[in-house]
Amino acid sequence: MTEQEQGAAQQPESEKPRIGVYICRCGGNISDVVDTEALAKQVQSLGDVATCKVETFMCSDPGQATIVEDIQKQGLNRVVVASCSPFLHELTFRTAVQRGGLNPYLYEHVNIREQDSWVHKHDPAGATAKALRMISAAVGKLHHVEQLERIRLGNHRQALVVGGGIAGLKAAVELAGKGIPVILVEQSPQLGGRVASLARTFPGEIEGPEFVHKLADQVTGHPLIRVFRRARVESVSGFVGNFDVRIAVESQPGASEPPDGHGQAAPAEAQEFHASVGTIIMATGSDPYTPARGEYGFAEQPAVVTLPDFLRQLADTPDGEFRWNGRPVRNVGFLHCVGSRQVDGVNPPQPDGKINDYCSRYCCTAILQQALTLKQRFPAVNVFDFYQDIRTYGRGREDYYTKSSAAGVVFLRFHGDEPPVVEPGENGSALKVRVKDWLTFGEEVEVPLDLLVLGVGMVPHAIPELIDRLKLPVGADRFLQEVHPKLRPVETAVNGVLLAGTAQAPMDIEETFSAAGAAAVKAAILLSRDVVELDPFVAEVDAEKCNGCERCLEECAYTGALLKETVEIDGETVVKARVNPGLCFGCGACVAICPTRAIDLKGWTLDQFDAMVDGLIEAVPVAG
Amino acid sequence: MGATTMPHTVDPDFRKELLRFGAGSLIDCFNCGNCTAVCPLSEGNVAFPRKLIRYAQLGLKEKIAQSPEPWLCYSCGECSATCPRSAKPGETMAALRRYAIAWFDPTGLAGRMYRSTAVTLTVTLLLAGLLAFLLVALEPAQPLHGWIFGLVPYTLVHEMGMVVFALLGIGAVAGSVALVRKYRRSLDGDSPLRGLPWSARLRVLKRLGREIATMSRHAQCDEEQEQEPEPWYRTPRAIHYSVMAGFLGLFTASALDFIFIFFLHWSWFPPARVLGTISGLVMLYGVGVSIYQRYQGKATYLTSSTLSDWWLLAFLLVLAITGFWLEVAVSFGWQQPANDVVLLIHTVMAMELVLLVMVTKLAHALYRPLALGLLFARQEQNLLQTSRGNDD
Repeated sequence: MTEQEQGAAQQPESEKPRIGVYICRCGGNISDVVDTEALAKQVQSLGDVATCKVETFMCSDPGQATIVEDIQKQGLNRVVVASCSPFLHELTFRTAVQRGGLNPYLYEHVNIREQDSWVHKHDPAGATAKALRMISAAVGKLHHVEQLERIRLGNHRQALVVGGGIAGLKAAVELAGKGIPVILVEQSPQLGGRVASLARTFPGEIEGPEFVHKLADQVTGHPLIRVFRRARVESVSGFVGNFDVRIAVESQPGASEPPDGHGQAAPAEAQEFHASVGTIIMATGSDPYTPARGEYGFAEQPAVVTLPDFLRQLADTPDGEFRWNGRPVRNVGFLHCVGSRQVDGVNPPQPDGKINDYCSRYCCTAILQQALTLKQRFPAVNVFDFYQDIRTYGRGREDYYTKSSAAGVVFLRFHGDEPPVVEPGENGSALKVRVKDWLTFGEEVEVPLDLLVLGVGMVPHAIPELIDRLKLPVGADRFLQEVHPKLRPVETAVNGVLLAGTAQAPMDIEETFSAAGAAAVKAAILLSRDVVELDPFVAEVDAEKCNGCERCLEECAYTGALLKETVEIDGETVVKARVNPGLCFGCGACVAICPTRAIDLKGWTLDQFDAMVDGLIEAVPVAG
Repeated sequence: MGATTMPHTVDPDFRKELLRFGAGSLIDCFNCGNCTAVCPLSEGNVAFPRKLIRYAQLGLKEKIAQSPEPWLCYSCGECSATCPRSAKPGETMAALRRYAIAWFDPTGLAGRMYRSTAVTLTVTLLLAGLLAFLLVALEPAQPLHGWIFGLVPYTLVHEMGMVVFALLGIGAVAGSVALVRKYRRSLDGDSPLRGLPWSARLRVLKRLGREIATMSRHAQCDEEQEQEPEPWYRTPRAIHYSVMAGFLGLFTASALDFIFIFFLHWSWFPPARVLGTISGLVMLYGVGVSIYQRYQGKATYLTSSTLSDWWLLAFLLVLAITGFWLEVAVSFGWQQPANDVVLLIHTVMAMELVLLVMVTKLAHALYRPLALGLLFARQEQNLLQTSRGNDD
């Protein structure tokens, strides 16, 4: 299954290192503190440094061209650039080195900006000395580098989408549009998820079911998309390009469907499907927060309902006099931030002991949309809105606030550490809400209500098995976590597993679509070739030194990354460790535990570390 | 500052109620506080209009009744002019004054008159008819006299008049007491003068006297008018001041005439005549300009006028004109058949104005000084607290 094509063209390793060192001034960011010219002179005297140059901007085209030219003309075979953080430009210079005709891993990056000039502004001499030691360490390491090749693995060019809500549907449609086969797994009998039950959606005021049907039709009608309804991912294993998935289906997909819902048991003719996929898109969505019994009167006061329930029932309420469960209603309250932006010590913790301190983001707009709808359909009803902050962010959303305000919705503002108190009402009203209102200068007021709508937030849909099997990172808010919120917003730390929609964080429909589209594009990139290329920095076992003690196997945090192999050596059956490069993250835990130094991390070997330490110590900065 | 610990209950219907008293748009207000920021009279712990607008939005009637702030406003209109939502906070302040007059009026007549034009006109005309009827009947030469006092004893009518005036006095006292008692609730029942040394109390009185005599707070409103400042004689304060001073002068002159001519049987009392003439001219000027400006509706402080505004101005205008007519007639022996009618109109309207004082806009002449007194007392309390705080 795993095909690893190691090492392409071998270059002669015997030749003596000729190292080029390039020091970047970073337009003064570095050179204002570090004496780059003096530094260059001292670097020149380090072992095997053939050339050392100072440039104002190494990352500029002329800067990169210098490297390429020197490799070709001066026969450099190792390169160091001392500049900014490797997160910024390591790849830039590796590519330059490659353009010069060298293996890109014969390169070392030294960060003398973030780790030196920026933090030692007030000690220029010290900073210059430190830069020399850092460069010396890199030069030392370069004496022990090998040529590395990126790991190439086979790629199953189809995608698994987990979840048939709008995020999953959108991702599936986009991927299939790119010509990539998709397997879509939905646990309920129907596609469309939560949005399918929304009477009206924002922006655009489109009916939820209508909009979902359009999307679902594209999915079900697409020849490249296989939809499994009433199905779940029974097990999953493998790594990017090579995930092995078992899907359990309660009844045959496409069989006659019950009219509604999760609760309906289908005629059980359970089936199981196997599939190999290259990427997995997690579109498992979210659930509305369920308040605890008695939280703002929920489940104790019949006049307290959640926003999703209100939405459904309002859509079915005939025009005329506004009635709720048969009772005429004159005063309606909407309460923001129920189950969101909770405050430690004020709101009781959730079953897992945490509080939901995040903002659910959709609720402000959703509440005001409903408040406005209510006011437009039943102008005689008084509407009160209890909020902390109105966060109707996004294009056109502020209109809901402006219009609700103009329609006569009365706003009362509370602080998170003093949430409103809901009590049984008096004088014919079902409830009264007591609130310290900061629009009334912090005075406590009492609002008699006939109905209170709790603007419940979003909580991630529980998928403990999938999280466990895929080792997916989960944030403090229990949502699945991306690698980087800005730079890699839909990727997870698990290579090949992508995030779409509210499984990742509270989002509205617009954002969910954007996220799903982004996940589809990322998946399409991963599936665009027959092979998957990975960084070569993985562990490697020297079978001769390995004594089969298996301690590395206990230490390894990534299931399947280290394997136990039984081999016969000289007629003797022995146990040896072997690395599966597709699953290894290169964390180095096995290297540290190995008693015989049988494991090394490619690109970060123990010998290289030794050389770096020597380099740090040996460099003696000359004052001046 | 003691605030009552009991939460106040929101009354969603109050907004509609206040609209009938001429409130601005309470819906449009989003509590930004621009009105309070531009108000030249709003300060530290007597911040308005925003606070009152918020109370009105939520229908916190009790809080409104406890607040002297509506009376501290002279309606310069700056808040309405700068309101980013055109919610007309100045008009809401005026409506709150009307509402307060109705609230403190135990008869309920004020509320009915403010809510309905028809009631205002009916009450005004009926009362005028009754007064005219009685006045005509008092003249022994009139055939009506014999007819009416054949039915009702003359003394009874006379004493009833006294009772009516006594009731009026009681009404004024009741209104004042109600205002102060409500205010005390905001202090948890404490007296506004509690703990104040006599020197401070005296200062409160002195400031109040000076304020009534000079309307210096009103002058602060004028300073706010930025573009093209009005000449001094056309500033809102000058106009208001001339109406007030003229009215008080005429009231005094009438009282002096009453004493010297009616009781002491002097043929005429020159100081009263001089005072009356000057006061009449001053008031006529103020009322005239007021009516003109309200009619034009240009000035920021006069964008909308309610019936109660017109009612008072109309009464003052007619009283001033008829008063001059009578003065000319008396002074120059100008015999005219219309004189009797003019006298009747003048007397009827003057009596009506006095009788309705506690239910019309004129009641502000009582409530505003009271509220100012409470404000000055509060400021003295604050000074006292600050100095105590410094001592600690």
